[in-house]
Parts: sequence; C-alpha cells; structure tokens
Amino acid sequence: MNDLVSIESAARGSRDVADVPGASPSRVPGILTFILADVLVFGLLFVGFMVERLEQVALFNRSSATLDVRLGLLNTLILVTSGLFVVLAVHAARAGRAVATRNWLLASFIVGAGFGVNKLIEYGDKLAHGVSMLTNDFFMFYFVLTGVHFLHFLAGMVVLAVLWFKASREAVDGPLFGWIESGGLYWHMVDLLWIVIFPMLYLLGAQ
Amino acid sequence: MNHVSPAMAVRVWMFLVAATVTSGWLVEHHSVAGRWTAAAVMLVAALKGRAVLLYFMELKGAPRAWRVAFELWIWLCAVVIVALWAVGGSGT
Repeated sequence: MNDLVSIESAARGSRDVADVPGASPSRVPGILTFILADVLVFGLLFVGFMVERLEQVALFNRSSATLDVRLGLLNTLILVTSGLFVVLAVHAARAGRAVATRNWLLASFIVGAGFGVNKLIEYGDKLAHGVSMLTNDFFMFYFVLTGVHFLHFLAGMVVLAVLWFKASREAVDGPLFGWIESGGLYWHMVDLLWIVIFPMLYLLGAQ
Repeated sequence: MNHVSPAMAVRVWMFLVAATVTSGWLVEHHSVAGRWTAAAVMLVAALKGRAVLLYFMELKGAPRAWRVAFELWIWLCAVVIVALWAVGGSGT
C-alpha cells in the first residue's frame, strides 16, 4: 500500500496550494476570519471568568480544586496529538496522497474521540455528585466554557469524518484540498482554545 | 509559502507534550514555583498556543497581519488572566 502511495505521490509530484487547480487559497482567509472572531468571543468569556473570580477567589479556588487535573492534562495531550495528525493529513493531501490523507484524518478522529469520552466521564461524575451550573458561579463558567468548547469539538469531529469520507471520492489535491486545509485550521482552533481553558479552570487555583 | 514539514510538526508536538507534562508537574510540585505557579502555568500555555498558531496553523508563513492578530490574542489572554489572577490574590 505504501508503495502505491509513493508511486502515486511521485507521479503527481509535490504540489503547493498555489498550483493545485481549483483549491482556492482564498478560502483560508475566510476560515481565519471566522476563527479569529470565535476566539475573540472566547477571550471575552475568559475575561468574564477572571473578573467574576475577583469577587470570590476562595470559592473559585475550592471549586477548581475538585476538578480532575490529570483528566484535563490527558485531554490536552489528546488534542495536541490529534492536531499533529491533522497537520500530517494536510501535508499528505498537498502532495496528492489520498490514502495517507485518509489514514491521518482517521487517526486524528480516533484520538480526538478520546477527548469526548473523557469529557463525558467528567460531566457524568460532576452531575453524579450533584454539581451543576447552578452549584456556584465557578461551575456556571465551568459548564458554559467547557460546554461551548465541547460543541466546537463535536463540530470538528463531524468535519473530520466528512473530510475522511469525501477524500475517498475526490482527489485530495483538487477542490477538496481547500476544505481539508480549512477543516484542519478549525480543528487546531479547538486545540488552541483548550490550551487556554484548561490552565485557567483547572490550574489557576493551585495553592 | 513555506509549509511546515512533517519532521518539524513532530518536533512541535514533542514540545507541546513536554510543556503540558511540565505544567502538570509544576502544579503537583507546587513548592518549585511557589505562589508563581499559576503565572508559570499560564506562560507555558501561551507558548503552547503560540506553537499551535505558528506551526500547526502555519501562521508563520501567512501574511503578517494574520500572525500579528493571533499572536496578540494569545498573549493578551495570558497577560489579562495572569494580571487578574495577581489582583485577586490567593483568596485565603
């Protein structure tokens, strides 16, 4: 199979976005505008959390201490690893290597799914202990921030699945390439947001 | 446009893993950074975010305005969070 991939790759040569017909580079600024707007909204939520924390530092620290840091760390490792696989998928797609593109997208999806499983375990544990959005202001922010992030995560998983599916039916270095690149950028945003959310919610109260 | 090579992406991933493990270690061994643990952890987070932006999202090779906008975002997040954390004190 690898031989087939390398033959296919050699035949096409290594292609750049600029010389991939139909893969309009203009889609990238579009997705970057969307990502920037999205992270700015999250930025406002971060400020809201920190301002609210000023009024109730002890309560926020006590609540934060009940979160499972190891689960949060594991989730960070999951997202950065899944992110690496997406980089490799984009790299393979740019070279026109369809099989490798699909394999890396699948790997990214499977590893990424671990984040969802962990998050559901975490939510389940909190709810089983009677902790909800209504418990206190810390948990209101906890559920809103991680919940909205979780929705972004789910959307990203759908995007990865759709790209994997489409990559078996279309040339990965044709018009689909722009979508693979944009989907990859979106997935990195999910990673990027978690990189800030995790220490702010889980680690800031470290005493 | 220069794209990030797979080897470079793996090196960036190794940095991200090492930085994540370091953050966890700093929190579990609180005596190392003492009351600066939270600030140290947020600094590490900003560096991780920057690595994702520049190398995974390839903003290093993107038009300067995009890179500046996103780098500004990650550093502003870290600075504002640390500043408001410092203003709040330990709460004890």
